[in-house]
Amino acid sequence: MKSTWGVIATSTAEKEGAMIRYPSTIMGVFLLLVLCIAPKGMAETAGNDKPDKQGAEAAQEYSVPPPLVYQSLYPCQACHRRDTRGVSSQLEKESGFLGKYIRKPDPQPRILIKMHRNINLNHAEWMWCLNCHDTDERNYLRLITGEKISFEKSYRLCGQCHGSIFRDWKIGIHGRRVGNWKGKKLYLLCSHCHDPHSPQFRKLPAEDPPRSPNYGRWGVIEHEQE
Amino acid sequence: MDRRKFIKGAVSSLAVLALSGCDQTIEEFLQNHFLEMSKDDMEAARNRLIKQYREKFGMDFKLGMEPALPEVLYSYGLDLSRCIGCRRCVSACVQENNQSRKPQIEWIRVLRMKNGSLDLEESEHYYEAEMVPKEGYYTIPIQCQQCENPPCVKVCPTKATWQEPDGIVVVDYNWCIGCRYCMAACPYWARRFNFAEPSIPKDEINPNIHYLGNRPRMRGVVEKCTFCIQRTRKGRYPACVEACPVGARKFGNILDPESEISKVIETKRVFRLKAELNTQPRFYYFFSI
Repeated sequence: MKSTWGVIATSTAEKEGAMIRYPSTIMGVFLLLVLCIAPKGMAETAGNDKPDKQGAEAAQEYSVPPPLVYQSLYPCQACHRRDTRGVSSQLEKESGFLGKYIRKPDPQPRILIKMHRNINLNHAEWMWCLNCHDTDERNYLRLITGEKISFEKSYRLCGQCHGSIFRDWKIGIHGRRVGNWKGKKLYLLCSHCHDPHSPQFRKLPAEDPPRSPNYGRWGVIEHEQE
Repeated sequence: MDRRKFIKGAVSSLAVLALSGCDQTIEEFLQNHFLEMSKDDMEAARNRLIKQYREKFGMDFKLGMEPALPEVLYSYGLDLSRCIGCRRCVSACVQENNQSRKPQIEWIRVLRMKNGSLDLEESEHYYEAEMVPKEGYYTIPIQCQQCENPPCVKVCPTKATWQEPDGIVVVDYNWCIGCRYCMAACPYWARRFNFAEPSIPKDEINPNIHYLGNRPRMRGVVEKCTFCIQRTRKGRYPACVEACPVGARKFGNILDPESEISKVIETKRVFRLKAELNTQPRFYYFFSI
């Protein structure tokens, strides 16, 4: 943005000598330049009010199929919530900020013995639940900046560490897309293919090999078998 | 009987004799080449085929004849560092494109190669259905490479196969005489021949068909991958792209700089199979790691 104005400033300074000789032409050209560049420049300034890359990334929407967790345990706050029964004011109830936890969150990293025992956590040694899940509002995930994001935007969470993969995912090189190459397509989330708690891709059984054309040559003739 | 009448009679009775030997109808026999059909011819061919398929399979087909989209040139990318060789693409392709189950025809062939080697002679495509990926091996799926300079088109004596403006090499099954020159010319082993009458279970038939693509074929014609012409010309992804569980398959318009395939070519290391033959495939293999 600054550079655009900078260029105009220097070019006008250079032209000042010439301006004495051909005032009307130069002024015309200058006006034309200003008219062409100014609206674009102003629009850019308005856009630049947003913080930076981070802001742009947050605003970028990708249409994704519903996250898998929506079919299983979600909403997490069915259990992980505060009990608002003793709270009188409606506002406080809605904010869910007052009241006691039904089960108070324990921020201490530990091996879970009572609940979620089916989760096999095998994703970087130091990681545990609250690195990704928000402590207070379990229906959300939490970025390292403290920003809460929904499960539909979980790619931003994964992208915090896996930057190069995230970059490839955004332009369609990593991961799967379904729908239309021209028009609406769905971007599968990281968690559609990788279990976020144990993200390494699992082995799959291959499908049957093609039938060998050897039948008929060593006595096994296909239509005789029928 | 004068000379003219005799010749007329002889020709017509010969035609009847010729037709009685095969199961072709007279309309089918006299049908024009697809590229030379008028609007009326196309409509007639469509009606004839839909009627014929209804009699044969007992269901209504949607037969498309869409021409190539303007400003579109398809290209395909396949990520060799992701492919695990599970053959999901093969079965999706068979389902989508009405390939014969018996005798078996598969347009995609998945080659298993030893790590560190790119010698196709040493590849194995009958490998067992076990858990994949297998250590020490990698896999290269091979299908029609939709060459820009296709040797199969050059050798066809009846012009039954040609390249469409969007880059897809197609076959007019009604003009194919089954000489299999194209199969001999193809360096990628991509074309298949219907040695016997193809058979598909009725409940597995895909009724969304294209004249130049997945319409049910007859005995004695050659067929091949068409990038799922019946889907891609409507803007959809090919069936193999959607089926790949690891997302190794990429498809798009190479003339659009924002498309996935353009980004692949721009940012990854790509190669084309047997590039030294100057067939200029539109099928790019790449490594994303």
